[in-house]
Amino acid sequence: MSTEIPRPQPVRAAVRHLPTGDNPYVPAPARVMQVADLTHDVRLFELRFHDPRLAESFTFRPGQFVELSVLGVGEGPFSLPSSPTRRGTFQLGIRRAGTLTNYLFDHVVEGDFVGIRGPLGNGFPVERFAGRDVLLVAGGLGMVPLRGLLQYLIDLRDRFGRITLLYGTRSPELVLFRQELESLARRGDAEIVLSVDSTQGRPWAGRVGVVTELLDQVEFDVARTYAVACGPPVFYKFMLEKLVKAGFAKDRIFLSLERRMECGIGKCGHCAVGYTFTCLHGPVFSYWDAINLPELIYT
Amino acid sequence: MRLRTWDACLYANYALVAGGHNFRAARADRVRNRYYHKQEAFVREFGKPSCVGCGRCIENCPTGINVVEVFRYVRGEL
Repeated sequence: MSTEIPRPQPVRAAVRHLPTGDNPYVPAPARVMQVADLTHDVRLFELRFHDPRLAESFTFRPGQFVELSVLGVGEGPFSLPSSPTRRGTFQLGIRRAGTLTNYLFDHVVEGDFVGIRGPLGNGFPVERFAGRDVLLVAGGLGMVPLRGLLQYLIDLRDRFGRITLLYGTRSPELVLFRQELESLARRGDAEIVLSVDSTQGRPWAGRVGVVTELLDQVEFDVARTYAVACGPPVFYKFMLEKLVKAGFAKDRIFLSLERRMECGIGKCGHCAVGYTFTCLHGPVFSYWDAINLPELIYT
Repeated sequence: MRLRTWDACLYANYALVAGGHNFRAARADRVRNRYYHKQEAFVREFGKPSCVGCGRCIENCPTGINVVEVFRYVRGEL
């Protein structure tokens, strides 16, 4: 198992080279190794670069993302739900949402090639988490990037203190990685609390209610805990207030933001938010940085 | 085949993401972003504006806005 990940890079005006190519616009071919359905509209793709040297050397920081492309169809940014401690292959968790993802769901099968550019963005400041407790809070599809971070923390378990995951979805069948999370909780590696907005008549042993309420259910020492949140805009709106009220300092709360990253390298400006680029300065921001940027969360 | 698509930060769908959330749905937000991003934040971060300075916006403004004055305003020079 390889534990080395790239160091955080200073932010420049644009990215000029990527591990996937000296020309950052040119994707590297990657083969789809495995496809698995997580829910009715979220699918996990496991990929491996065609170039064996790139496949073995490709590494990233948890929380970074890649651009996936299909020739003649399109390109889009996707976060990495796998950990850089597991080399050789990497995974993407993708929801069926538009032209590109419809094509991926309907036509791309095991053995096919897609294009990958990356890794892009800054990733979570995992170096700062060393020796501290980590509280992960996920809402819905926000579990995808946090699963990569969780896997990283679990793989290097002795470097970190308590690991807690609070994860809420709308209903039981939408819980991503459910079996995996339940077995992690049974093993005692992490404390995991799941909740659903409503059970909709399905069997459910976890809690019922919105994920923000889970914060009252667990106890933590805010002086030695970092909080990491990921979810839809409405989730941030309530969760961040709640974390601050619970006593977390704003520079110890991290969030991963979703924006329309098109080039991923600081050129196109689609992901500009409050005049910073989500693809270069983000997608991970501390709440301290985020709160001063207009239109970052409260839109 | 080579396909090109027109794209500009003042278009309504410029910041639209999958799932239907549009982070700059209002035109005022997009205009503000255009001025502040090109003329304030980029200057602050990298020392020069991310605008080539062709001056067409000044010549062609239908309402006669003094664009340079707006630049100076967003940079805090006025």
